[in-house]
Amino acid sequence: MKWELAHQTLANSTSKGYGYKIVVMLKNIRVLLAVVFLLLFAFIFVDIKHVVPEKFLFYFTRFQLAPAVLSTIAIGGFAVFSLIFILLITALFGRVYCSTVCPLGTFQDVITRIFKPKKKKRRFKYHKPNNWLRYALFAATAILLISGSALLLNLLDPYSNFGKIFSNLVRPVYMWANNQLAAYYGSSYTVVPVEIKGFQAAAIVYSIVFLGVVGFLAVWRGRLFCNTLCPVGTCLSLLSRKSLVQIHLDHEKCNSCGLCAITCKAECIDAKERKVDMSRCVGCFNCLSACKSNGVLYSIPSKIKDAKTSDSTDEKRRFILGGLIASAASLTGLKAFAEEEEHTGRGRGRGRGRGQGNRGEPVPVVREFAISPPGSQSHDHFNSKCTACHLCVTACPKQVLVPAFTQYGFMGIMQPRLDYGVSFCNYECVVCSQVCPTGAIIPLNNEEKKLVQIGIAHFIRQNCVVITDKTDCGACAEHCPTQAVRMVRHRNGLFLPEVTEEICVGCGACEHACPTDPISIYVDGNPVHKPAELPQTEAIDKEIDFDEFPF
Amino acid sequence: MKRRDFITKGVGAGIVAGSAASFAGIGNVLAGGQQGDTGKPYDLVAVRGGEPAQMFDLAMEAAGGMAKYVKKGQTVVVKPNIGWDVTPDRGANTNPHVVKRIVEHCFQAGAKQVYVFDNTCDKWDMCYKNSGIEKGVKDVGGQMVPGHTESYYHEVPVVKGKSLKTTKVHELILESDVFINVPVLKHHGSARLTIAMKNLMGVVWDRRYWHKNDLHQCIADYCTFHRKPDLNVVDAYRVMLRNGPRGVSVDDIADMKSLMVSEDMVAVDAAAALLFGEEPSEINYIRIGDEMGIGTSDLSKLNIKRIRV
Repeated sequence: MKWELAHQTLANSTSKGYGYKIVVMLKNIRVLLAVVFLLLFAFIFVDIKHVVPEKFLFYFTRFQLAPAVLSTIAIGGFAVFSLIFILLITALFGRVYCSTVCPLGTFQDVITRIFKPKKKKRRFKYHKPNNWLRYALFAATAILLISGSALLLNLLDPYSNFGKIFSNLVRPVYMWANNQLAAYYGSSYTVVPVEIKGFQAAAIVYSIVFLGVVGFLAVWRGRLFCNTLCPVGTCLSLLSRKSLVQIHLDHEKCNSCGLCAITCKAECIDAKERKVDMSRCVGCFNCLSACKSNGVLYSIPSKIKDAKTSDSTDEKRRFILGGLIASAASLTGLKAFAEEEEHTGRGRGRGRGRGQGNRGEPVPVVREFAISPPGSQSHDHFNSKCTACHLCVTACPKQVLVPAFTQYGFMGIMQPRLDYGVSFCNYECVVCSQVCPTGAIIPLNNEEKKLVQIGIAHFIRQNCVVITDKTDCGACAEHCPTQAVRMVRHRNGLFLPEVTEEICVGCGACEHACPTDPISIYVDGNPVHKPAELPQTEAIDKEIDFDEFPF
Repeated sequence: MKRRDFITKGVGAGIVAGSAASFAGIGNVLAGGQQGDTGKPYDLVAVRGGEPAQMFDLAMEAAGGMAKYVKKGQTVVVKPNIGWDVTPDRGANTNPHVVKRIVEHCFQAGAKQVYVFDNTCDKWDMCYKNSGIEKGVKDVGGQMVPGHTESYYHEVPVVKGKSLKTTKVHELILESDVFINVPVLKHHGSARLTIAMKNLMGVVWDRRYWHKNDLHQCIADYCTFHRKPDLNVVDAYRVMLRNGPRGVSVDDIADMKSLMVSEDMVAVDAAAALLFGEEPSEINYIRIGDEMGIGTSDLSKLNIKRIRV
């Protein structure tokens, strides 16, 4: 067998010190990657100055499992590649994903480290898995997803909840600090202040509760969240259980001292039985460096052990060559898999096709439907794909996107909606659709966006200042990018707004600008986005005499 | 730190500085400058048929040069219309070539620093960039200043205001030695036209109040605020004849190739209205402005220089 050959070659060509170096290196690489990913993820969710390019956000976030899966279903493309990559890495090396690219995973490690007990022995000890709970939650998440709701992913996905915590709790603090700095450097105008707006009490409370739960679990029992509640962890555990390279205890070298188990935040090493539960191992490699007798191995648990042909002290080195060969072997099958994935096609929402909202409803405003971002196609599509990571909330230059409470119904809790009390949607902007990691918002370009009607403006005549005070206003029409709201001659030289629904894109500029209380013009969301017509214009036919002065 | 100082004592200081600057302007007028046929300096200079920067050069030459308004070592605030996230061909923002040329003139006259800002309607940084104004200003050493957060604005009384009694004004307006107002002539759905007087809505924070409390009266009221522009430059090169103030497409634009300068906001608005094809008396805020004595809309009383390129 070629595996045996590879192992023998390694075994013969290496010295004792080499193996230890690899162990240390492995953990260092893991720590380095984890820190880099954690910092990057932390930054993109507080990036109020929008310094991170949209393209980077698009690709970077697709290396998170939940976005990769959803985006593969919704739009395919790059997500197919990243999904296969994540699954392949897990199948080869176990859940190293959980200790490197997962921002919430590393975030928990940081919390665990801050609150770690002074006595080393009290850190971690082996526990049996909560299999019933984790598989039930995973199954429920998957079933809900298939039946058209991303609710459980929304509530449990580590990436999305990391996003919620940073976008809703850290971002306002970051903004405040920025504004302090801006005030300090006031007269030079070098630091630009930002408006702290759009934050929702519900989202802040949710984030605090989630942070509290995850923080408690992390301090209490390490990666308990990852191994019971996290659907991503459970999904990957199905592969890591039988991964090619595994952590295992050498039955000859291991003296069951339990040093490895004390450092195992997944609490998956049973030192007495010399067993490691690879379905829960998050690939942090702490156990490797903790072992003083070279009894913890990270290698291919092949038949070699049975054959006893190789020097077991060098087994931990085998994974490198083995892994490489395995990768090469798997890569040949990659393309076919990719093509197969591509055929899963686009998940377009069917839409409910209910009413268009209320026209001319008496005061105050009653909004029937929430307004979902342009590119989200319909509430159904959006609710089924959005995990509420709030990347678009942070990225929106106008800060018009805010986390919903129950505006989409409970199933859409925390999913972003447009709040025209806070701001309005810039006509020439498609940032949210460009950064959305899950395909809940399908990418649009500026020209495509202008043809999408996310809602319709409704004028409430009896609230309008032109009617009540008989004075000109026109704030609504002034801000309307298509003149779907325009001022028409009323009486006594006054002008009154009029709405042309066909060319209204639902951007909410009119609603945001309206000065009356309650407002006189509002946008009701289209639960299924409709096509908007482009405003028709003809060139002005006017002869101009440049020599003439009319005064 | 400086900002904090400003908030506590700066408003008063700004008012003093502002008054001083306007007195300086009057002094210059009395001292001479370019004079018309009657021997008096021009009240209004109008240019037609040229390119934006060229027309500004000609207008300023007739008006007595920028040195009449900007003294060595002074700070200048230039307030164009940068309200919209659209390209220059759409005519929704002041022509970037005009703004750039104004900044150059100010520096040539010895200005210490030239600031340019607007309280935009669309996202401010996108407006600054896509209007072409940011690049033009930066290329000649001016500084673009944001006006998108309330922290830049300070409440001032509008003593002679009827509807508008107080309003929050951008600190640059209160602090700078010289204030140059650079509107673009446009159709406006609610105010009918936007020119010099209406352009000042971009130096205050709470515009909703204006819309809610008799827009035309508020526009005129604010023009009574003592920190008036020292100079108004009306860009009427590309003029939006309908669907204003944002416009829908380039189809809304007619090339008028005009530019006007005046110290009198009401006069320059009246002249621009006539150019647009509207009677000044039909535009309520111009009529009210004349009645309140902010300026004169009766152009026959004025000494006007007309330049054809």
